[in-house]
Amino acid sequence: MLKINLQKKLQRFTLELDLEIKPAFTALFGPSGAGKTTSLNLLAGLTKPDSGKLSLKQKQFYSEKQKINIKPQQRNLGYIFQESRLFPHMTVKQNIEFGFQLLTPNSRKFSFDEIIETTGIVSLLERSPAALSGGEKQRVALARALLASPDYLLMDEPLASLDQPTRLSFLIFLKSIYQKFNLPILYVTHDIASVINFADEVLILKEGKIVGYDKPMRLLAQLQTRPLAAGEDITNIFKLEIIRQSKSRGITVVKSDKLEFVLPHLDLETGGELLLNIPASEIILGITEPNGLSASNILPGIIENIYHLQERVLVEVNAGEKFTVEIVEATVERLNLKKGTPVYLIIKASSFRRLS
Amino acid sequence: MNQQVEIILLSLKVAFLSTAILVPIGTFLGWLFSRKTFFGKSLLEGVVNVPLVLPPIVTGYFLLFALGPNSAIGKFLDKLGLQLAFTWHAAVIAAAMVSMPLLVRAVKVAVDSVDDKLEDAGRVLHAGELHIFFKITLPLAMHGIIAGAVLAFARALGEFGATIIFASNVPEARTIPLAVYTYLNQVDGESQANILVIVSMVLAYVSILLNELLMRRFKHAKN
Repeated sequence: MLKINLQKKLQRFTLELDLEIKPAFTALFGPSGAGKTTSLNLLAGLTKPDSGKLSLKQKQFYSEKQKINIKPQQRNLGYIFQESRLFPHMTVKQNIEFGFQLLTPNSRKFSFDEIIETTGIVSLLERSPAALSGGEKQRVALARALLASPDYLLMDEPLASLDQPTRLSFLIFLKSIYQKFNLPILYVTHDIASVINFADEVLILKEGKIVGYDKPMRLLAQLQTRPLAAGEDITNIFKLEIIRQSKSRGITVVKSDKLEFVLPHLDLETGGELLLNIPASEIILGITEPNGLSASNILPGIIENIYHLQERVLVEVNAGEKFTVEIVEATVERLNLKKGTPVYLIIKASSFRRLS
Repeated sequence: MNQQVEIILLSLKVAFLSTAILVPIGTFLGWLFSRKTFFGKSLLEGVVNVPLVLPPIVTGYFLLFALGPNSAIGKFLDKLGLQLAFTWHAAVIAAAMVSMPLLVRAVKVAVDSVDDKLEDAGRVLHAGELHIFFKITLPLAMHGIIAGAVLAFARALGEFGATIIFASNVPEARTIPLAVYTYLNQVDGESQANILVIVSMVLAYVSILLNELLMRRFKHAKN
């Protein structure tokens, strides 16, 4: 539990944070200039607050009254910066060993080999940071932070400079890190569409104040402003295994933990893994079992939630896996959709977008 | 000829020693002026930089005043049987004093150019301030520091004004500039002075070339 009660006067407004964050994958969302980066710097101890208190679990980081201000070195927070901030005069290996070497072997949470495997940077170790792509840089920065054995991970829009497929696959990977190591994450972003599938909770920061803290979908529905710009579509992302393919019939069959999908033929190795994304607006929703359709994927499910975002509506459907489907208000009325309504999801093979 | 070789060797010794003393002090001061704010900073920066524009003779006079036989420090050294003024050690101190601003300014520019966000990245990775200085700031500013040290070395080789006051023209402190001055005051001394003049031109030119080269590499490494 991260207990925050901090005040800091900034140029345009005063940042006033007063909340408790559960250990989870939490997204901190807000427009640029809302104080997101300053908030992270306050937590990390890189910026000194004017007043207040800050603690993580039992550890008091800052208290104006008790005159406590623990140095960033001792807070044990991992921090991934927007611009990766790899040390340019060191190799990748030297970079990721930087924090690791400063810890006694007993206080190291992860093994070196485990982290370089998980982050997929084994082949990059001898390279110089200048020779890395944007996505590689951020994976190295993540490895460096993890090897410093943090209790909490702070991330400041680490994917802002990446294209959408790279961004989504990095987020999938981040989610797996979070689950594998049980390491809570506070993830700052101004692109809420990207994190909606991943975050357990979303915080909304506006003009230095937290104006919302809730499940992503519920918060998205509450937002006063239109939250999604063009191109920032809500999507469904799946990690899938290729189980069968037939070139003559033009199909590839893949499966997730609970479902099988039919895709157009991909000419990939059977048994390989695939990251796919289905835009929420590309899924058709029916209330009776459809017959005689050309679409290859028809999945029965149940509506779990309906969120209204002005004229757009997001429907959460459990069809073995969770899906988000985007429809319009008129459809909700016409089909009389409610929580608990049994529905069918219809997904064309060509609606799947490949991420990896 | 033998005499000239000795003079050149003494000059190199004085310049090397003064630079060696200067590098740690100048690096610390340059870093301090770049990274820290404290009470009296402008005053200290002024004091460190003023020998750059002060007539070297005046700097020499201050040194004599502060460290000479009549000063408190001079008297204390005298009790230990030591003397600074009018020895070749005085030439080292005079050279260091006069070339210090060149190094400090070079270091300050070099440290300014190191992104302090990298230092913050080090802090969240458990690195203490000393570790950050030696592993991040210093290596990234190294080209600039070396370039400044080369320039300070060249300035030390050419030092005359402060040296002739604080060390005076005693034979054990007679570096190239003082020797040239001495020869030119002798009848028919020109031919002896000429060799030293050529040597000092070559040394100065090589130093400046090296400094340029290092600065270019520093800029290159930054981009």
